[in-house]
Amino acid sequence: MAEDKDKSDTAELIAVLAIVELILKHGIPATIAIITAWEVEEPTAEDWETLKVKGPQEYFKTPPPA
Amino acid sequence: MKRKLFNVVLVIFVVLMVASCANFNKNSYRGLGTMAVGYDVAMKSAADLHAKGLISDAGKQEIIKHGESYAKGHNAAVKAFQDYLNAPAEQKETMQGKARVAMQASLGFYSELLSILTKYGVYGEPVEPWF
Repeated sequence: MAEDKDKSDTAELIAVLAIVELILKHGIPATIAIITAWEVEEPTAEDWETLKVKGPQEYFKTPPPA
Repeated sequence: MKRKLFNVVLVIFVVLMVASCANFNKNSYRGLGTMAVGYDVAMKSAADLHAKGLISDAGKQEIIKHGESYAKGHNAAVKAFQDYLNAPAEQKETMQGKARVAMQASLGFYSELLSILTKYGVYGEPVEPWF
């Protein structure tokens, strides 16, 4: 019983550390996006649609002058 | 260290690939979802470095070329999974095989893109302040 609790605590600590590491390295928006993807239990075709990515040239478009 | 962290996505994906066939749909969704986030962060970071003059135009073109391959491969894998989910029962196995092949191809493109990005010093740090 106590051993199970130890394992559970360790798993929780590892999860917290992984999330902190994700936040530090990739920022909060990316971390939320990853966690959101991991929370989907039974992905539907609509869930899959949200995973589509835009083309790389979209990222390099010069923003219009203010 | 940074390179190691940047490759975490690949490790997660490979673990998920072999983790369980029973959760094929869920695990694949997690893997491709994590890769999509990694791609988004990395491309934002690359565009930011280019805007600051830290990546040349030639570098930008190389990144775009490999990014295009990955984006096409990734979206093809997403489509393959949608087809698998919508397939009638008798075609499920065939469609699952196609989805698996598309996912593996996508992983290959992702790996190539990562090697190009690290060549130009893009490690996937967020561009915007997050605090």
